[in-house]
Amino acid sequence: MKDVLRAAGITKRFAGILALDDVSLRIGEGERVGLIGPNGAGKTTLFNCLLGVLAADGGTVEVAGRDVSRLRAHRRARLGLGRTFQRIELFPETSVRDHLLIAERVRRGTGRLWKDLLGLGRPTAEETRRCDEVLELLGLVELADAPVERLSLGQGRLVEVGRALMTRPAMLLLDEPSSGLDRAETAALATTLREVQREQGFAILLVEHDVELVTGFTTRSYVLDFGRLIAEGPTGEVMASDSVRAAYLGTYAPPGTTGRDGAQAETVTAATASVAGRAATTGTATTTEEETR
Amino acid sequence: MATDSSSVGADFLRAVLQGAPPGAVYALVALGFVLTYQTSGVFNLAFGAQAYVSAAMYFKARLIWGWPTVWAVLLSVVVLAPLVGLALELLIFKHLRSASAVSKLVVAIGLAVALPNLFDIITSFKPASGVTPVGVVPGGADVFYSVFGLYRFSRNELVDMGVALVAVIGLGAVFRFSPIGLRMRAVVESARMTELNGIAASRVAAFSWALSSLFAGVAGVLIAPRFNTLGSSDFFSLMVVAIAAAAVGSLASLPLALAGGLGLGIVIAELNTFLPRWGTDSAWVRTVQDNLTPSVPFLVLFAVLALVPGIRRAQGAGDPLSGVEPPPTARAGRPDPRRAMAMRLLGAAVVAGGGAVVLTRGDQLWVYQVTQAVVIAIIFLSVTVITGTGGQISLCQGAFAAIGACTVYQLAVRYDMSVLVAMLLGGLVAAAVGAFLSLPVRRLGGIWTAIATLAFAYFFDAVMIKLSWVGGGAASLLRGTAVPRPRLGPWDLSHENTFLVFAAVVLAVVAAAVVALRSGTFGRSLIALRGSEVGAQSIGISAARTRLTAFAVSAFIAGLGGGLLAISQRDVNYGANFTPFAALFWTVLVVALGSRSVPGALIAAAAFALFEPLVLGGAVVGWLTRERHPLPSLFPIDGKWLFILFGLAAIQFARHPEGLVEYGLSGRSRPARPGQPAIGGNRS
Amino acid sequence: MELRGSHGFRRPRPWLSIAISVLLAAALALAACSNVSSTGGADQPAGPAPSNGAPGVTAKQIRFAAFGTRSNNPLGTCVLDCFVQGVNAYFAYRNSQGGIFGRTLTVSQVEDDALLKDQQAALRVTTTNSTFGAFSAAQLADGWSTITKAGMPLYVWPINPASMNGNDAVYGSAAPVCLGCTRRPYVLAAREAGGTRIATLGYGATDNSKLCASSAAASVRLYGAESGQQVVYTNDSLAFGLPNGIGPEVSAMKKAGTNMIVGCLDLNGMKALAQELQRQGMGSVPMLHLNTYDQDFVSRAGSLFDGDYVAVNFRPFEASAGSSQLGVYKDWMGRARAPLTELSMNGWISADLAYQGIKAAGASFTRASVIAATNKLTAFTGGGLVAPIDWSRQHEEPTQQDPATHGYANDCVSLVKVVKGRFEPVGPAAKPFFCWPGSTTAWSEPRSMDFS
Repeated sequence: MKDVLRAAGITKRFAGILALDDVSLRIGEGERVGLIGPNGAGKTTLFNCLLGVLAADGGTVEVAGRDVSRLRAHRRARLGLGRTFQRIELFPETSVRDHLLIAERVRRGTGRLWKDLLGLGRPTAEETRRCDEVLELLGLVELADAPVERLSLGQGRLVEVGRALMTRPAMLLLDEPSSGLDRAETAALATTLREVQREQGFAILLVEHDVELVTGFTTRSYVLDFGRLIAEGPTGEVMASDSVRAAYLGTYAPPGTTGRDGAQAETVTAATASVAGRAATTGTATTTEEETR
Repeated sequence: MATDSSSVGADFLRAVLQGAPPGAVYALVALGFVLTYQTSGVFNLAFGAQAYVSAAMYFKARLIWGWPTVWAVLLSVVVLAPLVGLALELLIFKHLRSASAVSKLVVAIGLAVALPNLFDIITSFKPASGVTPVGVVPGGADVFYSVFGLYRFSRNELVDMGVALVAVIGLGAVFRFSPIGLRMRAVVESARMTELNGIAASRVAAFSWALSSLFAGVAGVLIAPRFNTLGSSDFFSLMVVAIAAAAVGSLASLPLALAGGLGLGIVIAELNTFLPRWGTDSAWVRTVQDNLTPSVPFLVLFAVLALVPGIRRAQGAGDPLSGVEPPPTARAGRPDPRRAMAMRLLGAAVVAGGGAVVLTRGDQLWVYQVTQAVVIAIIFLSVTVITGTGGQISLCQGAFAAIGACTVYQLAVRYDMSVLVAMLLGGLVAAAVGAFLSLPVRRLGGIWTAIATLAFAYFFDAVMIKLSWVGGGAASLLRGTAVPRPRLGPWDLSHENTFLVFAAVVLAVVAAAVVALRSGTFGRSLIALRGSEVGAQSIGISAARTRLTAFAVSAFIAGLGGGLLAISQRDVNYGANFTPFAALFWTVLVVALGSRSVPGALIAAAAFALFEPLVLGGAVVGWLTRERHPLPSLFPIDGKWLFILFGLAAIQFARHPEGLVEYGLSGRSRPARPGQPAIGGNRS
Repeated sequence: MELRGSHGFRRPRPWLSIAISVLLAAALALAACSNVSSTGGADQPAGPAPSNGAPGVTAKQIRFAAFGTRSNNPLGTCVLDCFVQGVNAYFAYRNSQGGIFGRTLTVSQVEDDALLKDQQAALRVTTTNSTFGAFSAAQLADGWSTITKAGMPLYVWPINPASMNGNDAVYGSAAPVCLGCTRRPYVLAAREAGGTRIATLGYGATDNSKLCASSAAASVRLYGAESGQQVVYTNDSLAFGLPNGIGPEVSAMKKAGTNMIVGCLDLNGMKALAQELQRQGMGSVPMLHLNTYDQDFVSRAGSLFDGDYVAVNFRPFEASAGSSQLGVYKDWMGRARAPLTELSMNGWISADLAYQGIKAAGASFTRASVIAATNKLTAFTGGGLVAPIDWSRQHEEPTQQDPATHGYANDCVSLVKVVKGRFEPVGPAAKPFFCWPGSTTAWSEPRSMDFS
């Protein structure tokens, strides 16, 4: 099995705090892989380093055998890394169909300023057809012309998936797709994703809290804690391991407390650190909010 | 230390001393700027306006009413300044707490335009020639104290430097040791979370605004004696220089802002001391000597933008808790197509009918005013592209337009080129400059685009326009910057009505192009980018390249319009048309009325050129009452109301980025969710 | 969770757009019916039509318009209003003598250009077309050609030579001058002040000031052999408003041993310069001011300007009136309770030229005949208030190479000196003009002259 994505020795620091420490992973064609870990473990940071949203301080990323470490996010996207977001990143005031159409156009790379000027920039029949296919696949046909503001969160996430699919990704990176969704919605999303993935054959890297979703959806998982990989293997085994349980339950104390608050603001707890961290960099405050309390 | 007062060492030291007082002034403003940014999260371009209000109030109380210093300071600094701050917080910013940094910036720009005019009207304040502002200590400008026998500081200057130093130490202590300091920072980071922690965010924010406005008042009163006449535009340009000082500390560090301010003053003094010694033999050296000094603040700012990676962290920090909220809802729904079509038809009818009336029955003045509106509309469409479609705030559209106008002047007058060809070339030159300018900021986005473009506007104003190959230099003084009107086939454009038709055709072409671009790949990529930068990147859209194109296209349109404006007025008229402060109002006007759509830009242009004669001048009421001079006690209304009304109207941008026209006409209502940002983009 | 509750939608409000459409349509219809004119139908001159049919001329009145800068003047100086005070004082004086050709003179329309809208102000004058001619005192004079294209004679405050140059219906209280040419008055003023080592200063921001500083330096150099003066420091690129102070420049002047300064700055800039000179122990170095003829301003500065010289472009208020109109001007300004100002004097002189032109054109005067007749006035002095202007050839700027063709016959200047905060005339009070032959740029001793 060929690797779609291979990362080696990814390291990332924020203001001297090690957020990712020598993380390596690989994902094969069509594989469904999970990435789990407690809050502040560095999952989103790793995600962003893989995708080029953040520049890693060390390590390499390869997509289908090509080194993309120095490429920016949009170049990596064009090379086959599609993604969705934990906090939905749709384009306001734009219809569902338009989301898909612009993605298709960018993939084709046929947009030119002079074509726009001559009114030749409108979607072609071929583009519309492909767009309709994906809408069908995701069950979004009825919502095609709705502005995204009218969608529910679950539908919004599907639009993100659809938008990513238009780029014909070799791999789809899903950032906490269950966040904000209830159980039923999550299940429905998982079902749709599984069907689409089966049909199109791309690989999936799933960052997720929802243990149930990870267990049911992925075959293999990586576990991240304090910026380091602490376990990898078949999802079921990994979930059962002691160290993973310890990390999740918070009883596991790592040697050398660098403090997980230094990691990229990821969720509620990290936000406090961010306030303090920024205040500290201003030179106007040295106490953190944690200490004040 | 060298005692020989003419040695290089002594000269160097003397220049350090000479640069310190103006440096302290820059530092005062820079400190206030950083203070506001850090405690309110607002990139407060109205800081200069706030300082102006206190300075003018002090001037009025002290010199016109003859109050004693203490009472004048009490009124202008201790009472008025915090009141203004509280009013801004309670009436405006309280409701925008989680809005994006860019939309708050636009609100501040609107205030920068509206506040000074509002103050002038309320207090009927006018600059008085020859009555120079005085400081807060007696004999402030006349009593000197020698330093090392090299230079003497006046009392005013000692006060300025002292206050700057005390402010850094005092404010630093507040942030470091007092609970309120950290709370102020926390509220900026996440109002929601501080409230979860049991802190009353609104009270802390009110305190922040009162404090930073108090400081604006202090700075205003202290720096006023450096100006000979009080003018709000001087305070604004001083603030632009001070932003360079503040940028040295990434808008975050008070000590670095102080150092930046002093450094700027000292570097300029050193340059003024040593530059002239190069000798003035070559023209090239002369050009550098003449222009290096005024360029320093802008070079510093650009250097910071290009070289300091740390500022990326300072950019538009969002609320970390916003992730747990649903994403902001911007405009919801689309206009009913039937009504949209009806409005379009009606608009076309109004334009056609109005045009026909003006062309057939209008007198020279109305033809001229309508022509100005049509030409300005072309320039305003450049704002539609960069701000409406691109979500970027550019404050140098005036400079782009001036580049177009100067190109027409240079090519037509010096090289005898056809002015219409020159007009197109002017657009291209502006596009090239726009593309180049976007290089340092296209990946930063957000408020940094606004800062960099503002700096460029002032750089153009201070340096470029004076170069003989741009604005004409001495030749323009002797001969003017006259631009001829061309012939186009059978049409003689020197005829005013013919020119109006021609300008309308150009406008129609540009408007059609803007619409076509918006619905094409470029426009949809730009809208995607505006909505979500990371989202756009995730499907392969290059933010850098798209923004570069957006800048180039917008600058091209502005340059084209600027060239046409020069042709229409038969002169470049830089001072009357294109100065940075004047062009700031363009952005305000377009944003207030509707930067998203072509009709928005058209109506903004009509407001720019016709609101004053029609409404404030009383022409509409005159028509209605069939009186030549209706209600002489009411009309004409002071033209400053134009700035006040539309400056204040720009405030709604944070919640209704589509502008008054579209919002008002569509009859769309929005859920009352206070503080939801509505501009897309820059939420990273 | 819904991103947006359906309750968030309210039904659209068609009535609003309908109301707006109706309003717009009504306004449009009104506009169409009322013959769009900026003034809603200009009232025609009343009474019997005058024989010449010139606009603005009624049986009893000759009406003039005035436009220029009133509001938004960043310098805060009184421009349009003071200029019009001078015009009105002159008209009151003439009207007291019975006016001209049985008609009184009056300013019937005053338009504020709000600094940036001079062209609109000029168009309001031409489209109203109820005045015979126009006066203008503007900071940014964009509208002058609009007036003359409409065939009206225009009398202006002459600070924009570029806008006057070559337009033979624009008249100033002075003829257009060559800003870049060398001029002998700089050398004279320096000599009066006892200066030998001269510094010249100007702003880089305004071409006017920049050219003045370089031309002053060039003048001192040109006549150095005769005068024994030399340029030791020149800077024509100061930042306007002196935001960075002027410390280093004054240090450099001090180092160069400057003992006289020509300051091509506005009056506020001169004050900042004087304060810096005082600070660096150069308070006694005299300066030549070009824009500071303002007694109030100088008095308020105390002793700051004592020993300085101020160049004046007309017969100074401090000179003896002799048989000139100076006394009449002061008298009628006094009756109007208006202060004596540079601008009002310029207005007075312009009004005199308007009067003289009509008088020369004869009773059946028209705009064109007045312009033609005025252009035949070869020695206009405003009644001894300015050096003679030959309007038959002085509508264009002279050049350095050819000072004679379009230049003054007598190249003159008046100087006043500041003594204890008050202006005092320099030279004989009865002959307040220092003059050189205008036909050449060569140095000669100036003659004291009087043009009454």
